Amino acid sequence: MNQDNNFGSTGEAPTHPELLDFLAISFINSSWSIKSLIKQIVLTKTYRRASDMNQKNFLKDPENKLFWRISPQRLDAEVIRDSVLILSGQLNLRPKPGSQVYETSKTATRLRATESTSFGTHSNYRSVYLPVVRDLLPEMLKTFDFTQSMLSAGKREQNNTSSQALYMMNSKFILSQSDKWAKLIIQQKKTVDEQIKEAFAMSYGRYPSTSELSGARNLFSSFRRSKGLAKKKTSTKDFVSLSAICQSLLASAEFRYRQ
Amino acid sequence: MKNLSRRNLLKMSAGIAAVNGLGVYAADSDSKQQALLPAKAKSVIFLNMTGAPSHVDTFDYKPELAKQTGKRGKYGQSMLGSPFKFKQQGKSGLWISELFPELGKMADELCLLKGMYSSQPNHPQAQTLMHTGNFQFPRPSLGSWVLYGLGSQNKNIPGFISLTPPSGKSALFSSGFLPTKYQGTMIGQMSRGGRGGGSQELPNIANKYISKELQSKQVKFMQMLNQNQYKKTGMNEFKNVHDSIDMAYKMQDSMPAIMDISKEKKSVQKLYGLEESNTESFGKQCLLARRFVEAGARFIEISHGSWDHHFSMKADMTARSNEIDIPIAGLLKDLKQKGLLESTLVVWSGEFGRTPESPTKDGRGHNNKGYTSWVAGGGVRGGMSYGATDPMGYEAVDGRLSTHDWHATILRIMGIDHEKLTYNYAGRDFRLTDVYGEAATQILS
Repeated sequence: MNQDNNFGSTGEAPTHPELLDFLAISFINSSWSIKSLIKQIVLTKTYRRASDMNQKNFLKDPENKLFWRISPQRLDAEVIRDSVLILSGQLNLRPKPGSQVYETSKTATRLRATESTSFGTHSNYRSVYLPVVRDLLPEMLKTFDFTQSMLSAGKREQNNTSSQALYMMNSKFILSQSDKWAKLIIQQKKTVDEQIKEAFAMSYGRYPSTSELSGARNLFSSFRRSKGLAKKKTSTKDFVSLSAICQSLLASAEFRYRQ
Repeated sequence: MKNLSRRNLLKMSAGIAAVNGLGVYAADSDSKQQALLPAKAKSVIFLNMTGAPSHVDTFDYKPELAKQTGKRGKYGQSMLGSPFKFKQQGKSGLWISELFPELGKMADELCLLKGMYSSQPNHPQAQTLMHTGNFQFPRPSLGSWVLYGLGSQNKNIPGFISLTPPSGKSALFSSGFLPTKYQGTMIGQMSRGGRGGGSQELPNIANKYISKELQSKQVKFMQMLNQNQYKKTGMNEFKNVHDSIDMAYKMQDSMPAIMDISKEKKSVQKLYGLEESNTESFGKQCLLARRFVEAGARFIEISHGSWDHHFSMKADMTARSNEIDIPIAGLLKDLKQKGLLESTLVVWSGEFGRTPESPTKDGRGHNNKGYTSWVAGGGVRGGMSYGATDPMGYEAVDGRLSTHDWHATILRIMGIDHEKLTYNYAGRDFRLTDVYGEAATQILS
């Protein structure tokens, strides 16, 4: 069923009513355990299908109501942020003890947008542990369609906006995490080709195609040869150039879509 | 049809209304949608006066009130005639207070809406209501609805821009449940005390670490990745990300170029009051607003604050008015000389008005039962006064405009029927005006 919060007469009828009944019954039988319900769903073949296109199926069921594939979906803001932090090796899985808002309010009379960033995007805690202060959402989450904290939302918006692109191209957070990710890769892989392949594998779960590999190599050497880096140490040149590739991978659509 | 029950009938009609989830005005920034009603205005500049300026000291002349000064009013405090002199201005002879000598000269452009009223007597709720049509729940803001209804005119810049909004008030330019592409792009933030000013930067608009040339190569690589995936999967999302990167790349040049006012002629800078310290800040916002209009933005909002004159009204209201008088007059003149006033709607409003009584003899209380806002420009009759409060200025009695009526009027000026501008959310079609609102069509030219 396609709707998240309209089950009334103006909503669409479910596509698999028997399945819904089955799930409802097993939900009750499992003592109303939401965890069991989710586990039951994610372990199915249907849920684990690839998102690959199939023209024949598409013509018969363009909206994928019959689940012939998993519909591609933009990752939620929190998932994008956490994934970036995992790649850069920075993600802290534990919450910060105590209240970050309280800590901040001890020194500031009033929480302001600028101060929110100190416990917001730039910290490395999992996004679920970031405090959500009304009107002061962390920039990264707000940019990637986090819902307003005062609004009930059955479904997140999925927009591709220019402010997201600017965030990926120019924000301090993305630039610094790309640098850290590049340094990690360099520690593990010796040649540039290996490093590029590793970056693709880590972020996209696949290796680059021939054209992607050569495009990445070209980008690498453009940076490596650039005037701005001319006077820098070789190690700096290497990681800055690889970082440009890493950042490009984060900024491209494949990174933020579940396929 | 044998099962033609009421329930089935309802279902059928609902199905027709919600063909694609969007309302009649399913304008997208991807499609160049035309307004469905005849309209001259293509852009809106909204001058938001936070704190609620007094109507009886600015645009609602009350000679009877002056005679009552010192007498006990109906709320138990003493009546206070305006300490400011009023004068008839322009050919139309609109009564305008001495607080606005320069704006007064533009009287023949203004359409004063003197029968405004709001349901909310406190600032935060009334501001939220004025911006979204609802004071309780987060809803899309006026600018988002306008942009959603009319679409964008320039793909290189955002269609809805909020210059120096009050801090912590994102509800005022939020797209609510509308897609975020209709959200206001915030530039700068009001400084504490709310007089406007503050820094004027767009987040992440430049990369401080690499040259333009290198970045163009990097963007090319990103776009190759996006294109490859688009070809492989046929997913529109990949195309959308590709386009958003394109737009962002262009914005890095287009936005700073629009925001760079240094190349404006000296005479223009002077017109907006950029040479005087007290008008410089608001003047700059007004000039930026004109530049964004020129560039094709749909809705530009500027906020100016501290109109909450409970005390020291005479001195402080003079200072606040001085800050905006020359800039707003300059904006109207400049739009006019550039031929843009025809296609631009300028709106000036606070969230409510102030009482004719004074507890302090130099200040006024909140009055949501009657106040004045004005509109000027595209498709609006100038030199006009619409509606009225009672002789003391307590309540709107004639040509009454609720917040919903005011929204309906603004949408109508933009060529939008407020009853048809809908968005399906949480199972029903929402409107800016909910189930209310009637446009004041008498003010249309």
